[in-house]
Amino acid sequence: MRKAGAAVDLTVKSKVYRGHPAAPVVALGDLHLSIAPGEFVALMGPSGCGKTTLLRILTGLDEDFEGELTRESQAIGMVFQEPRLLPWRTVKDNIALVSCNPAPGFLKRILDECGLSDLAGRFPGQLSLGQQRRAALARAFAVDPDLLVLDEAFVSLDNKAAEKLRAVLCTALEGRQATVVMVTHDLREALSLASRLILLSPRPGRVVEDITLGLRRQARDEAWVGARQAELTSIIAHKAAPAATPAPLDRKEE
Amino acid sequence: MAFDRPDRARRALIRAASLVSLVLIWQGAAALARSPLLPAPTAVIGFVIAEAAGGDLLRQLGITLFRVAASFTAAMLIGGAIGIALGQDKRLNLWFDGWLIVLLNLPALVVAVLAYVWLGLTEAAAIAAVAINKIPTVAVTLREGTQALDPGLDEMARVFRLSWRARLLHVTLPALAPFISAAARSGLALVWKIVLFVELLGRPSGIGFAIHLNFQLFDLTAVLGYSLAFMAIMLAVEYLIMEPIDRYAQGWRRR
Repeated sequence: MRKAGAAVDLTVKSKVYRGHPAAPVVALGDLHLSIAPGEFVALMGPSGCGKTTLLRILTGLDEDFEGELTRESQAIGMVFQEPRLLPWRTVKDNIALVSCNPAPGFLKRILDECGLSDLAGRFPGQLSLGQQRRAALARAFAVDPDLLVLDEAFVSLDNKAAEKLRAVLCTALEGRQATVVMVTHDLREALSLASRLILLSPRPGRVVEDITLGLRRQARDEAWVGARQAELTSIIAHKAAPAATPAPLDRKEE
Repeated sequence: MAFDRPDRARRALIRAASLVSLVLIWQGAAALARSPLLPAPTAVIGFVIAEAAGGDLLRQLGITLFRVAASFTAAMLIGGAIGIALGQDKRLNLWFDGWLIVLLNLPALVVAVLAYVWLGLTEAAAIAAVAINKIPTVAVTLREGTQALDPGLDEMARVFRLSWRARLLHVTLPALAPFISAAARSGLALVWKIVLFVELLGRPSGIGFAIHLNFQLFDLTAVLGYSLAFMAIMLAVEYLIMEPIDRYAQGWRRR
């Protein structure tokens, strides 16, 4: 099963949440995932299927599962659903705190890349959500990540802010050798960014569809995205739904 | 709260006026009573100046300040460490919660007497007695603070592999700043009162000793003079040290 040289190779036999007093919940079951270096994986699936749990296992935040994780990466950059910036540190200090390179030029380049030069001295509380997400993305790039993990980083932004953030992400990925794992509910977003689309089943989550999107990201246009979207929507509705009733792809996961 | 400059100036003026009126009331009452049992503020201030110039006042003040600083620092460090540990570890908290409640309700007098009996009438006993009185309240305050920490930021620190030092300096301590500040400010007031008490009980020096001595001589001008001098210093510490530190640490909230 295991592929040599994979950036991430994960086998989960099962992941159970034993909440008290609630009954145990099986979040993930019988899931295998192998991601090659440089791939951009979009993880999709219905609400509560364990996408965030999967990310927590991938990043090492959750080690309480039955299975095995092999990760080549040295540095992980993560953008959480809420930006999780330190409210008492400026944007610049938030980024500098995790930065792998103390040279001022390195920090400046990242701030420029993410369009944060004018906001560097502000505190997170003074920023819009879109700006905070950009700061969180800049922080993730400041560790020079070989694995970049995005947990619904574009959710609850207006179209313009989300578009800008996606543009920043694409620019920052140019010339870097990062493997990306992104959770999203937005098929168009997945189609415009990812090189591979993985669809999880309803809880307990396992891989039900694994689609490689051939065309280079830069070469994709509206027409291509539209065509693929039409093609995949029915597959997703069919595969990711509990028997018979098609589940809507919710925007929010608890 | 944020105040504009003119607003702050007005606030300071109101504070000063309020203090001045207190002194005036005292002066009036002393003039009415005309008794050595209620010396006028002018007499007390005169005593303070004379004692500071030629007498023992500055030495006694210095000794008491040293004891306040030592016991306050010890209580903040030890109480803080205990509070953070209990806040982070539920089992530890379950084990030691009861101890904290016992310590919280231990009278200061008992702690002081036991410290002097066990450690002798020494400087270490005095400082330990004061610190032990303060440690449980610091621990309880910081335990609440630690339990209220954002687990999301902790996860962030783990993913980005921050060193324990960076976590402490940039994640934990800034988040705890309001709790540390509350513990420090209520602590300082409590500590200096207990220091005076411990001095009265078993030290041959310090403001508490001087007050005790003058009480036995029935010299109320000296009693009030020593208290006043020390209160003035503690007020200065509050306004010139504690408040600016607090403003600096909480500065990000007001932007």
